[in-house]
Amino acid sequence: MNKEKGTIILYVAILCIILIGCLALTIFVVPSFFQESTRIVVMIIWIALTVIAMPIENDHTRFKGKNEKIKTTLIIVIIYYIIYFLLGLIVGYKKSPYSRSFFAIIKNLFYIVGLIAMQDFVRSKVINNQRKKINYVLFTLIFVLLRLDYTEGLKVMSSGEKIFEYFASVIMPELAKGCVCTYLAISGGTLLVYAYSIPVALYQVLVPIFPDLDWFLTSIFDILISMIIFLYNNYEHTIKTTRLTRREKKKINPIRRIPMIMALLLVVAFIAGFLPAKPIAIMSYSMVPTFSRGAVVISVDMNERDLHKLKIGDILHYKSENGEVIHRIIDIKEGKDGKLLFQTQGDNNNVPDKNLVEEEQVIGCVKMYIPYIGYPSVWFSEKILGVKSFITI
Amino acid sequence: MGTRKDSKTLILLILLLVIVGMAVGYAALSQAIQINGTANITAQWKITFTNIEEGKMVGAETNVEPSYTATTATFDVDLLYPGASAQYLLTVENQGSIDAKLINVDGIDEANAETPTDVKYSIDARSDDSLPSGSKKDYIVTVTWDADATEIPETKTKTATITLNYEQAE
Repeated sequence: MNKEKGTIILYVAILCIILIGCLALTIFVVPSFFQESTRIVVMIIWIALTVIAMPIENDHTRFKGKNEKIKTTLIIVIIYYIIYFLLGLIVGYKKSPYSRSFFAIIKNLFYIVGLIAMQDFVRSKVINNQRKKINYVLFTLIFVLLRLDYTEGLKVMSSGEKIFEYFASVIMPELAKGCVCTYLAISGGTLLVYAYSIPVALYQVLVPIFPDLDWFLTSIFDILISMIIFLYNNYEHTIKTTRLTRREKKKINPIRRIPMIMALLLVVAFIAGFLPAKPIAIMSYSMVPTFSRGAVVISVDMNERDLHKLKIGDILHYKSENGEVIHRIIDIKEGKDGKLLFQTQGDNNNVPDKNLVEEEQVIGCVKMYIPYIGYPSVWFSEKILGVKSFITI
Repeated sequence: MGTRKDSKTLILLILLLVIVGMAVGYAALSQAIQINGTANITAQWKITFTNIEEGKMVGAETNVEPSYTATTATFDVDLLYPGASAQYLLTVENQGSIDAKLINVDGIDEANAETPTDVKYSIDARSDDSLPSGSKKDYIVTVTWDADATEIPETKTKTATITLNYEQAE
């Protein structure tokens, strides 16, 4: 037991040194000169750690149904990436930054896939020597920290918006991935972790084009795959290690959670504004008494035909020089080119808005509003993102 | 249980065949697929514009101050007579940690083929120009009204979307 504790302390110490070393290398060393050497040093350290970790015996009694879990994980990962890739047919594609030459592919396989393989091997060996949950958390965090890019991390400190983007697009998916890898290591060992992490790494290195999704959707998809893999492996693990009736098995089957996941995705898509109806938090008092600051209005997208159905009294959502505005239509005119021009005014304003709104500026029409529920978004935008106002007076 | 195991193996095999099919499909259709720039699949890849400024101007007047975002640079210039030209200095920086090289420049030929054909764009970028991690590179974009042009074009504005395509240097 003491020997085991000593090994753990040694590993924690080594990993902490690597972490500090990697941090120092990425922050203080000139990247253009030492980049290749930094990579080589990191690889050498991980090769050494892998060699040290090899003799460590793991408790295989926890790996019941390992092959089944591996197959399930591979099926999920492959289906997920096929669907993800095909999304590009809707949103378009972007090319991979990685070179397609044979030498570069081998180099990337060694540096990217090889490094992940070694890290996950060490992760699996170390984690399977633990019994306390706090150690699982500790090692998950250490491995998450090791995989983050700190150069980018320091650059994003310049504004609240960038910090949020970095947190949502880098830290959250990496944390989700780290948690799943730890769980897979506990329930199936190194090969089960590889069934998830290696195809993901290979996809990044080998695939020449990727769907042109923005950072928000990409991170949502990354978190989603981690969640699905966890749910299915947890199911496989439970039915292998616990005696359950058919009814109980049915109850915990992740397929039953698909509607919940779909609903969650719809909510995320709605909040993020990817659906034709978008929620917008009001940050000013210009439309009092109809709705006030902190209300959420639902703006519905409009096409050219819808524009001609607009009438005086409708509430218009449009782009202006200073941002997006939500004001009421008080007059509709026709321009010289036959296009519509809308005169708008805030209900709480004494005078109409200075400029007429052209058809091209229209984003949508407000169909409904809910008071107060937008306050968290208003505070978040003002305090964290430093945005003074999305909606101008 | 045996059937369940077999069905999983079968599903895996089918999925692998689907991947092979997709790879074949991609190889066949790669020329037809619309590619919009380079993906940021890794935080280590970040090539961005960091400056744009006026260069040598001959018979040219800038309408709107040149501006840039991370991936686009914009200028708006009036050429006053045949032979006039305007130059803009663009700075591209590799802020990521992967060494990059320029593989090609898209959009110049397409823009030059459009009317008014007497107004031509050019950029002094060459394929294989290297852009190591942490380094900057300046490019000069030149727009010229052909000195031999004898007619005033009907369309007096001409826009160009020029794309610098980078990829990992070996």
